[in-house]
Amino acid sequence: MFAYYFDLALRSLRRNRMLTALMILAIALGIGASMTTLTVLHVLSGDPLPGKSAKLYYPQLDPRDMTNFRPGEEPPEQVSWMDGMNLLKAGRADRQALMAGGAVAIEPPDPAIAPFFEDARLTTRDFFAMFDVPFLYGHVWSKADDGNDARKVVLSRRINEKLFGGADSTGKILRMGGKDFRVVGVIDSWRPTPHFYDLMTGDYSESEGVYLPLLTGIDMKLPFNGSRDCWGNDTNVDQKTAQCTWLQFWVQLDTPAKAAAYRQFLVNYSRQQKSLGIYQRDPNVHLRNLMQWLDYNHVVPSDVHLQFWLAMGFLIVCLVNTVGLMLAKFLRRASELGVRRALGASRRSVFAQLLVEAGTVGLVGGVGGLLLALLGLWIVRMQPSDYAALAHLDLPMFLATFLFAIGATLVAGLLPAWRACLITPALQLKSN
Amino acid sequence: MRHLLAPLLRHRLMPFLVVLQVALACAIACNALFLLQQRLKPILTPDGIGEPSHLIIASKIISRGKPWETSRLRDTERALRGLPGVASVSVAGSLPMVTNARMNGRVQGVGHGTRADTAMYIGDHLVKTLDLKLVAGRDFTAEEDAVRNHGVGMRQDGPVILTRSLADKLFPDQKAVGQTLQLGDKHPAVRTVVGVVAHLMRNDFGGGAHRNLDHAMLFPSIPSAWPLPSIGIRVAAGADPQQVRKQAENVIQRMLGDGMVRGIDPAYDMYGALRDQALARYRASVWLLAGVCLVVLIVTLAGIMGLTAYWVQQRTRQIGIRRALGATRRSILRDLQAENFLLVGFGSLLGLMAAYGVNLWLMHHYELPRLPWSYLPVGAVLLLVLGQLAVLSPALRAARVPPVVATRSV
Repeated sequence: MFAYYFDLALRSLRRNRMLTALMILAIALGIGASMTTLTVLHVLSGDPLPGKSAKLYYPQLDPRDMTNFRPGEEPPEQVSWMDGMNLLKAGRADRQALMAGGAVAIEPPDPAIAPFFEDARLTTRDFFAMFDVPFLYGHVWSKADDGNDARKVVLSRRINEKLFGGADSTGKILRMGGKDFRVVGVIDSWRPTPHFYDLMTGDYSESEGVYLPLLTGIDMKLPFNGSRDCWGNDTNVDQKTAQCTWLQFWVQLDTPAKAAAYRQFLVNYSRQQKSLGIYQRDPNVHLRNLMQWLDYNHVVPSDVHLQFWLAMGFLIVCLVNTVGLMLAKFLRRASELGVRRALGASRRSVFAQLLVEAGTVGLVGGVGGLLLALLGLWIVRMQPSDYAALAHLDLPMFLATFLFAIGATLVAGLLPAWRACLITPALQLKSN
Repeated sequence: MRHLLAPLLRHRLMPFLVVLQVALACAIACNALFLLQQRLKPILTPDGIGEPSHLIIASKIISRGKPWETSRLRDTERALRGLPGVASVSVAGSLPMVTNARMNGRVQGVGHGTRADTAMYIGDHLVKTLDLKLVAGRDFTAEEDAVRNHGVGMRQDGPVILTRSLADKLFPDQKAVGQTLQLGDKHPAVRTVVGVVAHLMRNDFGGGAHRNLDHAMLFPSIPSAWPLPSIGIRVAAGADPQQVRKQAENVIQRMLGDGMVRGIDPAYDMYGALRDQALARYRASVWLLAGVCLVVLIVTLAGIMGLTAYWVQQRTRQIGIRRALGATRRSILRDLQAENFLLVGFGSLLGLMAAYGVNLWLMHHYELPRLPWSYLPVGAVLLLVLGQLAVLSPALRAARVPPVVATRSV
């Protein structure tokens, strides 16, 4: 039955090529535009750590003085060295890591390669386990190394390829910032998008090339990479004691109960700091999970949202247009449908026949839309923005495009098909 | 009128679809056009720079540790000025189209209530190097350019040159030259206007619709205690800009190289290229939005045409009867046009309300300015014209229906 309807649909579509082409074009344009923007939105607002993100939290404390105090104000977006260290040592979460961005000069073992600067992440060791960073060789430094200024380093796959030709480099010595470091591990390709753990160094920036124990990096006074917010008139520039927030602190809390307990711990901690005279403000804490943190920071550019809504509006225009054209097309064939009804076709089978025709338009429109979406994404990749390179169609989006196109066209076909079914055969047979 | 409305009310679906299409198209096109105009602003604003192909901008000259010493910058400037083919050199806190260092503030004319948000370019010989057109007053004198700034120079008395649009905003209906202005509320520092230039574009193009991109002012002399200065180099007419650029690069590297932060190299761009780069994002947006508008309108045109053609074909008999009863071709044509006018007019009325609603929603979520009322009639007229275009071919066909049709097949 379906094959017969499909054959009828093709015949009918071929009869009025202009109208058919117009419908297909409208669907293809609508689908192409909406899938392009939807893909960009999907890539940019995706979960960087699916399955894990709900357990990762970003605590915020408010250690500032009372200058410029406004009630209900957001606490700073990073933590100070003192708070970070206190929270780290308290160890109340299942996992926790204190980190900062930096840069380090690398002197390659191969003298043929010129020394170069590379972005570094200075962090405590839970970073790797907490963010599910995959290891290619070796493993992270030990717990003791976090506290004893250890000269150990974990390299990214990219840097390992550049320096050691991709071989297992664990145990080798690498000279960085004028000091000798032992390579303890190499991580596999890892680029969470967005660069969620430190948004100060760019929302969609690449992962760093080298990973050092936090204390080691700070004691070497490596160039700092990120944002530092200070308060008070203190001219102190010592990173560890200055009244500045500049580190990121992440915790893993496996259950909601633990998250609630941790929030209470933060409040108690703030209260204790205030009673010690270190804090001046009343407890002002936030504990957002990863996705809430991204949302709060408006990581997805508002232009991307605007374009998405624009494309959705455009798709609706195209669909309404298709409804109109299909209605005109179906009703024009009233006499043909009247004959079919008179010869015994039920209202249902006429309806099914017309929906198959609508679906066929949707299928062809979907193929066209897919091609247009590929073209659109190619254009997006040409754009001067830091997320441009990420705009690729993945398999789920590829399938979604087809389902979306056919679904949308079927919905658009419902009204015209239903309207065409209402034709009374007798009336159509009489005239003409 | 009755013969126009009656068929529309009898078969409601077709007219309803036309109205819906027009309303949607109107809502989307109005908002897209408005966004387009927002993105177009930085591209269309005159930047005031003369001979862009003969201006070299060196930026990202970032000092390591403490800010550059002014004497060192002056030595570099002198060395650059000594190069063959260099007409003028400026060391400034920031320059037009340099987006990594910007200075902005709110100013107020002394004795005037109006405040304005403006960019500040602090540097020596800027009028000459940027080739700005003075329309009133004078350029800074050599003495003024030699003054030692405290800090970057924002909190001290001195002369200032404004753009014409900023002068008009601060001192409406008055000569700006000779007036004084102050920055912010707290600083008592007062600047006296000595000159007015035709245009100079600010280097932060974002922000609200009410922000005037041609609001800028110049302070003389080099900013002290500033870690990331830019250097503008005006190439003399007849000299080869690329040649000069290469030499300038060598000079800056020689004079300042050992004090630069490691890992970041200075950028040496021709002003034209820098402008293209800074505006690329806006240009891309403009193309995208223009494309969307155009396609929405074309799709709507095609949709109305398809529907009207069917709608006319349905009524061939009635039209024949009317013709047989004495209606002229012209009146048939006019009736169909009037009908289309009614439908599209009603549709755009709904569309305008929808456009406004969409804009309110966007304003709430994406910090967009309010859609100006002037967009609404423009959108409506656009769609009415479009509707008339769409109805023309089916209506002409209808007008050609011979009266004899009425007598057939009854």
